[in-house]
Amino acid sequence: MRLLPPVLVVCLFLLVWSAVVQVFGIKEYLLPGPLDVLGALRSDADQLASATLRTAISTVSGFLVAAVVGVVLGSVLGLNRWVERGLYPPTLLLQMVPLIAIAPLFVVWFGFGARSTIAATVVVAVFPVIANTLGGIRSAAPEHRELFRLCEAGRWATWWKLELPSATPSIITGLRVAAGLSVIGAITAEFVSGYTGEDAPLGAIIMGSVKTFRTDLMFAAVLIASLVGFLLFGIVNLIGWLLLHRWYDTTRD
Amino acid sequence: MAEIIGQERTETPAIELEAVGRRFSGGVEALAGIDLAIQPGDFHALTGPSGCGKTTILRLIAGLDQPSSGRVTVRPRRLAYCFQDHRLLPWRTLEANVALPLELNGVPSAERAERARVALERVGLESARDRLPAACSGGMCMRASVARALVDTPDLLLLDEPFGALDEVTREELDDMLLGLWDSDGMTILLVTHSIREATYLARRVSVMGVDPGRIILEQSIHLGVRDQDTRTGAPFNEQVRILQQALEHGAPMNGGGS
Repeated sequence: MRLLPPVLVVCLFLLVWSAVVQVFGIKEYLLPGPLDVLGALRSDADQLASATLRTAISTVSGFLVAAVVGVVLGSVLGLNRWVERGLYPPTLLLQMVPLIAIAPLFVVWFGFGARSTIAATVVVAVFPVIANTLGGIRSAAPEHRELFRLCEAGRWATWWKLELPSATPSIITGLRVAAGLSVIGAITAEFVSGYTGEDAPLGAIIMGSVKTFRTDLMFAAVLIASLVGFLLFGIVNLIGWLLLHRWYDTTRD
Repeated sequence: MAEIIGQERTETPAIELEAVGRRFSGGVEALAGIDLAIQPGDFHALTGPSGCGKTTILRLIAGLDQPSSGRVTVRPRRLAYCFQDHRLLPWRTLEANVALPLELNGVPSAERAERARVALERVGLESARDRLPAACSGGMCMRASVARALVDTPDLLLLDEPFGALDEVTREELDDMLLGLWDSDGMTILLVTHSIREATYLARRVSVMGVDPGRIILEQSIHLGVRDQDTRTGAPFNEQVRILQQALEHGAPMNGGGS
């Protein structure tokens, strides 16, 4: 029953889209109808499937590296105020650099293909993980810190047994944002670093299809890329729920 | 100055506060001229209105805060602190929470599980040891936090209004549990409570504090013998409560010399 409203909205959207294209007689290369996109999904299924696999691998690899690096860097920043003051501004800079501007640099460093795509994805996705890890560590209850102080807990034990678990809800939030950004990062990087032809990832297909006026294929690729992001987001959400739902619920279970 | 009523003992005190003052950075004088000596194995209660510095004294003794003047001497080596709130970690089961102090002190895991289990048994929570705090009532969580304080067999137990947030029935139940633990372990207990009745029921010696600045206005021994369910309704109990209550209300003891 919870699925009904979104399904209805999507159906309505498709109907309106279809009707607009029909009624106004819009050319396919400007705006293909839903059925045209479906057609492209079928006719180019093989190419799209292998492209999806490539892009998904880059996205997920980039996301995982960003998750690990982000939690580690966020924890390092959380060590003390001095480290935070010194390292946070450069980290922030990382967030401000426009990816599309440095994507060619990654191609120079790592060559065409998945490696430079992954590097670009990490750069885009890592910041929210760092910021949320740091915020989560800072938000560990002072009462709990006092308890650890009384027990003469070491720095490492305090991080592992108090700060990291306290930061988990916040880290999950950061990972959710990172999941969406990973897809953006991967696709954008692929505009520059993706092979064309047989080994093309989704980003390269999108770029290529613009040049050949295959707008239907482009829509299909965009649709799939969105689904990859959606799926990754869903997985992060599920993991978050599995970890957290029992910590803060009341006596329901 | 505090007025001392009752026998002074000659043992070396477990805790000694000599002319202790604590002024916070805003200029608030939380404590002034505190002299307090607590004998080993004693059950001592500090009571007084909000803001009289009861909790500050506990924090000074625990080393969570430093005095601005005077000296704090704490002789027992193992001390445990039971906070006003339970402070259980929400991601740990009751057993893992109770085992935390052992874990942080490097006790091997099999031993700490065993000791945590024993501690939970002592507070009547053996059947709930695998539950997370979110699945427990407030009373259960407070019990678990007492178990956590007891798990490393402290010589000195500091209790900061541990049952203040609980309903009366649960509170009296936990008071009796506490007395039982004190009887069997013989540790020194210092309890902070705003309830004069609770202080009188539990402690063998009670210090009443006043505000502005926080100071001790009366220290008195309580002689009620073995506590049972009739203690709280008996005349001796109510007489003790009345004396302490008057001191509290007037900011000075009403019988004997002035402040």
